[in-house]
Amino acid sequence: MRECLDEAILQSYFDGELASQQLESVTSHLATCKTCAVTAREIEAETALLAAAFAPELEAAVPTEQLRRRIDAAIAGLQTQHLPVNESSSFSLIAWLQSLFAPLSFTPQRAFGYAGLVLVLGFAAILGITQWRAASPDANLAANNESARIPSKGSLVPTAVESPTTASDSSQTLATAATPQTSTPKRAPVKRRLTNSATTPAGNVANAVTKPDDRVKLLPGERSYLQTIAKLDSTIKANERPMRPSLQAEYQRNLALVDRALAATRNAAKKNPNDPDAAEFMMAAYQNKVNLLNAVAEARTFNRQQD
Amino acid sequence: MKFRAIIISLLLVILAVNAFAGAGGARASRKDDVGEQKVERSIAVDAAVAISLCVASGNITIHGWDRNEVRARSADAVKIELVHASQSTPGASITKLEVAVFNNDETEKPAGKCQAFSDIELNVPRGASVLVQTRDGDISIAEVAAAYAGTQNGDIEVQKITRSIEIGSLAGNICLKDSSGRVNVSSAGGSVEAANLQPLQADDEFEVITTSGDIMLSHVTHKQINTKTVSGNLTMTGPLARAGRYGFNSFSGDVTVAMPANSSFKLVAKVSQDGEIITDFPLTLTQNSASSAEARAVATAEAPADPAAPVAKSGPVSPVTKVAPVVRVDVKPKIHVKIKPEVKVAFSMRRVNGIHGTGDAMISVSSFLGTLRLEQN
Repeated sequence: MRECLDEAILQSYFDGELASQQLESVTSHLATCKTCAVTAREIEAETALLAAAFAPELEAAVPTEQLRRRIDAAIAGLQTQHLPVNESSSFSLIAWLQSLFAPLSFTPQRAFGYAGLVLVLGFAAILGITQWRAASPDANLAANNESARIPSKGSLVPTAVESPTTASDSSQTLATAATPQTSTPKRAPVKRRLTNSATTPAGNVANAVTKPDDRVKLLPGERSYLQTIAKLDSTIKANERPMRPSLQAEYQRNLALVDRALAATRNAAKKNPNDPDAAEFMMAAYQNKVNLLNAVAEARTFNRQQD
Repeated sequence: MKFRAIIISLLLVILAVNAFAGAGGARASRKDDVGEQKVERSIAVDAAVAISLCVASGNITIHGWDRNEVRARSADAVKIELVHASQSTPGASITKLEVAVFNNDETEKPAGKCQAFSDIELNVPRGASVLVQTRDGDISIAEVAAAYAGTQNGDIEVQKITRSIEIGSLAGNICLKDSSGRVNVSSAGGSVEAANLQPLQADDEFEVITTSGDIMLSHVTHKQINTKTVSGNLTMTGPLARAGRYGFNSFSGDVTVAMPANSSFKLVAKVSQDGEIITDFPLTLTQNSASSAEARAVATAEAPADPAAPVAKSGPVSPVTKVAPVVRVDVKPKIHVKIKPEVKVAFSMRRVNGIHGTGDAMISVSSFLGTLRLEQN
């Protein structure tokens, strides 16, 4: 008499986990052994019962092949209803559509997956933009210059210095300092706002100086001052080490004063182009700025020698 | 037994007191040692020697004396070297000297480096020219021929200089006293105070430039004085030099010139429309103009009913915009004079030309937002 099969083997038999050779052996044994056949039926009944009990949850959680088949069948039915003429080619189209719709079945796992994918793509985009900006200051400056040409809609602020030296921090401060000084109802033709000045090469500044915005008119004598300021600014920033706090504080405080004076006097000179006194005030303000930048540049040079 | 314990306790107390006193004495002696630990170097030099000194952080004190010798001393430096080029002619005196200060046992001072962190004191010939630079320390120079000094945060005091002064500072205050010769001072945030200065030669100029620091001049008798500031206040007190030319420029700072009643000067003032000119001196307006050609105004003088009635301060003399080349306005001191334009002009800058007395000196004032005061003292 042949020995009865182990229950575990029978369970594997119904789960489809046996190898083909073992599967044949078990099948032949069940055909000859009544005891094992009875046990096999019991196991089969239990397996069916469990499968029926867990079927909704299993299907909801993981779209099984059966579910896919049902969906495919339903879609196929719809296709056949709406496209009766194109019967011959509908099969491949349906399959293609099915492949399209398949990822859109939003189960919780898939939703998490999509959300994760979106996050990863977002991070990658931010990282890429950051690195691109850091790698191409020239392009950034060009972009800034481009944006500078856009008139600031709704702004009542005429630019105090629409100058090429907007590439420098100092002139940026100057432009901001100009804001409260102006109360003219005229709309601003240009409002420049440039950043990333620390990485701006002096050459670009010079180029910007020689190619001012079409709508920006430098007053007579301004250009040379702006070029000098740009050079001094680059000298100050040439030292990569940060400015000493005391020097930085003094520099910023006085620079703000100078820029405010420059903005106000330039505004007056601009409004009164035929007044030599107004122009003289503006030039004096420029000279004040040059003096300040000279002093700070010398201090930076002195400090650099000591580092 | 009890007696023995008391004796032992007393002995222990005595020992402890002695030990404490000994330790304190040792500390005191070490401190004395440190206090006495001075590095000193001296060298014979030419009477008109040029001396340079540079430290990173430390106070510099230089004093002229009657010897043709330079003596350098420091209480906290490890080493001082007096560096000079070898003289081409044997026996010739040293005309150029560099004072090198070391905080450690460096064998050689790195070129262009001012790394020492020590206070230093120099005695130099009175005819010497000194060039000193520090970053954070204060500088004091007295009784030499020429002083060139620069600092970033420290204060600078210079007195009894006979030939030339040139000083630069970022944040420190500058004080000049009892000196003569050419003066050139610049400061960003620090104030500049000058008192009792006179030219050595007729064409010696006095120039002060600040950004936000105040400028105070007292009895500066140079014939050419130029002062510029952005937001600092400008004050000059003292008599005007005959044929002197005074320039006061500010953006928002007030300008005050206080001078004797018998002063004689021409005034050229450029102020904004809202700028005020307050004067104790009667001015004859020679040419007052607004920049707008459309402006028309009539000058009206408002005198108090009783001229003797005390008026706390002369009122603002708003510049007229009359086209007439000469408008004589006899303004008695302490009389409230107000000249109002009838028509408001759009432009904000105006020029006022006036004369007081025979017009010996020339005062040019330009202030964008500040007030000009001409006061009698």
